[in-house]
Amino acid sequence: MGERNDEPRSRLRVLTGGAAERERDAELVRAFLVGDEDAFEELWRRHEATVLAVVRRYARVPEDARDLVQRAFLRALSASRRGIAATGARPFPFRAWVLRIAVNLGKNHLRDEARWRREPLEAVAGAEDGSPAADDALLRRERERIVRRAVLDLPKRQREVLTLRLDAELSFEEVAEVLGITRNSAKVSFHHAVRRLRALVGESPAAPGSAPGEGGEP
Amino acid sequence: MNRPCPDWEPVLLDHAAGELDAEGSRRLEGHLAACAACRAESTALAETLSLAELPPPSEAEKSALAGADRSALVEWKRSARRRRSFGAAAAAFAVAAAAAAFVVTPGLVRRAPDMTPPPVAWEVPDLDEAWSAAAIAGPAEAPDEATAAEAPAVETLFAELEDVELDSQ
Repeated sequence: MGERNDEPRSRLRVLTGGAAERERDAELVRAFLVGDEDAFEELWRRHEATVLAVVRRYARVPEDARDLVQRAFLRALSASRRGIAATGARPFPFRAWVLRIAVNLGKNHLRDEARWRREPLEAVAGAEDGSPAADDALLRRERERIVRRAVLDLPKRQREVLTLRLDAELSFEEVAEVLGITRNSAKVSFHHAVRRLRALVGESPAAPGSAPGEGGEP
Repeated sequence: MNRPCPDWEPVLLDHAAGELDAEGSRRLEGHLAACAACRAESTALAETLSLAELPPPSEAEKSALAGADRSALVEWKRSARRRRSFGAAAAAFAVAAAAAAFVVTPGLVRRAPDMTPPPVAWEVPDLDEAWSAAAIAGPAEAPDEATAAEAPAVETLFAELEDVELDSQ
């Protein structure tokens, strides 16, 4: 992708839904479950990109990502069908459900892929970028590969929080809802994850700040 | 390499996470202007997250996802048909099993032993036998004085019997 920018970003964006969005999701799910296929299309459009963002880190090839997205939607709808049967018309957090299922499917896919020693999608995507083979670009790509690999090796909770925040751009409130934890716990897990990765970057030979005096003087 | 200020490290992490509000960002910028170590750490944290981020979805990913909603819908319908078929088959099986149980079970269930007594044909009782059987052998009651006075002596009764027998001979 030619959109890569080598300048580090200092801030993460936040994409979040509200109570109205949640209620709209519940309406669409109910409509779909009684046969409205347009409702399915709208539900898909509303969450496709976020679900893809969650699962693509775990996918080896684009087809894997597509399968994971489809399975996440189908399982979330099945869960909704059972949930409606059990709780009646009470609103339910479809978005949280589909993202939580996506996280679990991604994790399981990663485990299954590890059995076959396959590389996840980010390595393939990096190879497809076609950036100039300049030394600094190659070096950066190698550092990306190391850090992204380290993301997958993070403890489970840290990895879940980091990817939901970083990839899906969820707020910590929504991360907490998806994972069934408190906002503070999500934030602490994020801090731990970033510290771990930061330590890894610090060990890297071309890491900023690894050389004395690189940060400059005030 | 200088370590970042311990008090500011959580703020740096919040900043990297995009969690600082306007006031927090202003205060941090003031600190970073004066602290080289925290400035370097802030840059390194941003660099770390930048390295961890995935590139935007490639064209290959986008095209792989094209039409995925329709195939997911087809899979849902297929699954729904399977659910309905399974439900109908399960219901039919349940009805058939209940019917079979209704028909077969009586033949299979062992009859409980009949505890009622067999019928007995009624016969006219022999009243004499019944009378004697009902007689209770108990201590002889002492006759009251009036009865004793009127009762004939035992010797007289025997004598009368002997007379009868002699007469009949």
